[in-house]
Amino acid sequence: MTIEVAVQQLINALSLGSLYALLALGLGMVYSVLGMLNFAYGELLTVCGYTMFLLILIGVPFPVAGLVGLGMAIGVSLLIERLVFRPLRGASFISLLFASFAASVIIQNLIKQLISKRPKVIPVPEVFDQMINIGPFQINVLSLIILLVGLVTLAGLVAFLQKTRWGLAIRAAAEDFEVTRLMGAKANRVIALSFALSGFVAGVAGVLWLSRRGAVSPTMGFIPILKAFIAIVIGGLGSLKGAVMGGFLLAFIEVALMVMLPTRAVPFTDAFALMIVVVILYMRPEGLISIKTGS
Amino acid sequence: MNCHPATGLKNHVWRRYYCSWFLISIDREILSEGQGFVTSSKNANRNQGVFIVMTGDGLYQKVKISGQEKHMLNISGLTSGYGPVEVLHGLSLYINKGEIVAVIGPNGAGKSTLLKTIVGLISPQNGSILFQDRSIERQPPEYVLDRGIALVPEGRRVFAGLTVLENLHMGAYLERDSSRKKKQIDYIYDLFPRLEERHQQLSGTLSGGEQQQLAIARALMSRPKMLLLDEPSLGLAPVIVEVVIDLINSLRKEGLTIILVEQNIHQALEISDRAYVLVNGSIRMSGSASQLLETGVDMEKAYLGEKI
Amino acid sequence: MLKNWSRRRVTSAFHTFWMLALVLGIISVAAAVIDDRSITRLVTDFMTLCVLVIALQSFIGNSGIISFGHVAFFGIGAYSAALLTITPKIKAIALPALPVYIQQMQVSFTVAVLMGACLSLLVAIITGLALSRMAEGAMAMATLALLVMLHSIFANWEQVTRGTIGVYGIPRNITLFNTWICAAVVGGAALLFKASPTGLCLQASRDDPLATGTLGVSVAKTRFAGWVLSAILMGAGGAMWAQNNLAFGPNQFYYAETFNLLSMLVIGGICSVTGAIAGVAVVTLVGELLRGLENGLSIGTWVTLPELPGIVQMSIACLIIVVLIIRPQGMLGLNELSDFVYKRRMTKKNT
Repeated sequence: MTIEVAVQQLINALSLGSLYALLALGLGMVYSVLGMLNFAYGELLTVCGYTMFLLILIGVPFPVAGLVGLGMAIGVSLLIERLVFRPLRGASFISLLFASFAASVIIQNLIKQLISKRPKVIPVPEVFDQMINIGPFQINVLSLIILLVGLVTLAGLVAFLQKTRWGLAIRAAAEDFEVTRLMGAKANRVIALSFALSGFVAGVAGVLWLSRRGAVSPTMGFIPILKAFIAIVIGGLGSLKGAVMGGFLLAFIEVALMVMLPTRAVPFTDAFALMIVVVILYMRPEGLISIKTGS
Repeated sequence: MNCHPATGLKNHVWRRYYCSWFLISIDREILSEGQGFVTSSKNANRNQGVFIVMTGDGLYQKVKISGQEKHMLNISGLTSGYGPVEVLHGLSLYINKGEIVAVIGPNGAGKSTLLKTIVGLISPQNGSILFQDRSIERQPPEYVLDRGIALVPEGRRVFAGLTVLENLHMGAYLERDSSRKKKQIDYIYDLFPRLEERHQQLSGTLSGGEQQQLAIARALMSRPKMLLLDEPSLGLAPVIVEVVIDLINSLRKEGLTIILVEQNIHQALEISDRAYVLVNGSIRMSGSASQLLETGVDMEKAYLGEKI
Repeated sequence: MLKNWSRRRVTSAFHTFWMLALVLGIISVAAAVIDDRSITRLVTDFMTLCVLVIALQSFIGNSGIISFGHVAFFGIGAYSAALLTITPKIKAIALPALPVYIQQMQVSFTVAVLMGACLSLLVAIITGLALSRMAEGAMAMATLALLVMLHSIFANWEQVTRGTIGVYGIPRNITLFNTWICAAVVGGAALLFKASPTGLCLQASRDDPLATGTLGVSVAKTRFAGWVLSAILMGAGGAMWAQNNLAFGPNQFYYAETFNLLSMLVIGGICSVTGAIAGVAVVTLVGELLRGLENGLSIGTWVTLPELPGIVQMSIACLIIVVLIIRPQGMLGLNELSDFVYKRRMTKKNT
């Protein structure tokens, strides 16, 4: 392997990693605050995608459609919290999981009924497919954009969580929800905030995901939530830092397999990647960063 | 149906107040005095206004209340628990301003449930909680905290992944004025120099005693009028327990009212003014701390569940 | 670890068993009497689903760990039944790459079901050894990983599964009688497991894994036992299903089917075998009632409602949310059929 290819693959892995890290952070945010896995998270990407699809269809430029899609993702995330999870406050882990599962199916079917059962193509700006030369390296523009947007969003989220009063409350709630309430933080507000942030991250990830894929379909949310789920479990459920690390690790495993596997085994890349993940979990059942609250 | 049965007054919102002491007088003649529920109109001045009182025989009378609320916190007929499980069975107690009151009792007596109900983490099934004449039962924790009651939860429960300073900031979550927050942090650092040394350290890496200090400091950040301490000596070495006790004593000198929940009877009674013995969700004994210390034998019986 | 069987639990499991077998038997006999093709098909579908959901219940209900991976065992059972029962002629055309001895093999319904169970057992042992040691959250994820892994094998191992095209030509070996026997046996196995010492330890670990561990119970071992047992039942169910459906592709063992089976379990009640059957009944009923709407119902000759694809799935999803809000434990909660009968007797005695 030449150094050029290696650098290109590294950029690929980093760009995929920042996307996975975003996905994982959005899912992990709600998990760490509420202790629940939101299976409808993937559908936030779907909603974002279809909003963009419809807007582009009527002639709205790509970036504007992306912003509106982002807004829709936040709105739907808050809506799900209000309609599904708030009535179930205090229910068991499994109940909440099933409820989110049901919410995801409802959204999928709404899209099937209101728009279409079949996948639709989204015209992506042509710039995305071009290559640019940086020194001796040829790099795909889209990978670079994803890497940049991903890192900027991650940095923005970290700054929000570290520097603001609400960010502090979210981090405290991730540690101990009851004591956070004792400190005067309103439970519903903290939870709604975590859902809004989760929707925001899903929206950003959705725009990037669509730019890679160039098409929308009602079940397109399954793969992103799967990746996010795997990433937060590798990272250690409940740890926000772990979610980001898990996302990057998963991307590196996938890109490495893609490069190293012989052509005949390429369809099984996902299977191999998951096998490696299961082996990691077998050795570290609590994930990379294990959470231990207090003593 | 806003017309009151006794007075015929219309368009008044009627409220029930629990009065620790009231005087019913009509035309300067004292009819009765005592403790109980008083119904009044919303706008009445609670200390001197005209009240409508439901007397024992179910009749309403127009009355005048005199005298002042004596107690800072007044709990009466409190029934509370988790879901269908009732842990506290109609207990009543009061705390005066500036007192340290110990609530002692064996494991599972409902001590922590009592504190959680006071601060609003649990909504009581029945009964009333009055704090400085305001009813705080069924209010969310942020309301109770804003009124001036802060809880130091059992087992310290500092935010382990946050730094000491971030923990203190969380404690002052409701305070939006950053200069006041800063002042309060300086005050806390005066009180706990150890925390200032370690303000950038993750609080999960502190020792048990330091974590307890941090938990108390965090609660003090909201400038409470009353502090509830749930088993502050739990899991601490005896030397460190001494430090915590000294701290509680110095807080009392600053005028803080304290409810101290403990399993360790003697230590709790030594520093408190009065005490309640809570067994199986109801008050088994109460009195001044010195009194209870003398009747140590009876207390052991109460602990073992014998009827006294 | 608990060693002794509790007589009371076994008796009550036995009572539930014969009552359930009786109810299912009556349904089968009724269908046999009516002798209508679509009704017979409905009943065999119902029984097959009962087997699958009961299999799912025996792991999720007892361990309290959500598994997305059981549909993979379902697929293993279905594919192994397909390979074993398709006539050699069709196999020679559709699956020429198969080894000769498999190509020439053709077995009966029972053997196919048993082989489906065995193959599934094999995979369950290999995966269970790694899975059962994981923390709950990680285990749930690993089961999802299992689903995706096996799906990618089903979809890409073209020599054996014909890839995404799918297999066809499975003989319809299923009858009302043999589905009833299967459903009763699987129900009995699940009830017996629930009442067994291992099953009780597993339920204890569901309620508090830490405390169960301190009692000297190996949580990993009991989880392993539950995992393997439910995989066997799932494999058998898959083999039954294949011989009922006759042709299928890999996408039938994926997200949608997982949701379908889980929703029946949740609506009926995770912790109860009776609940699993009740859930299947309710979901089947809702499905049958609304299926007309899905394809565009005609009222009279003039009015035709528009097609509403996915209305069945959506109604079921709404039903789940409503059930979870009103009865978080599902319709039956923790009760089995015998509990209702016994409770009535107890109150009679008391009054």
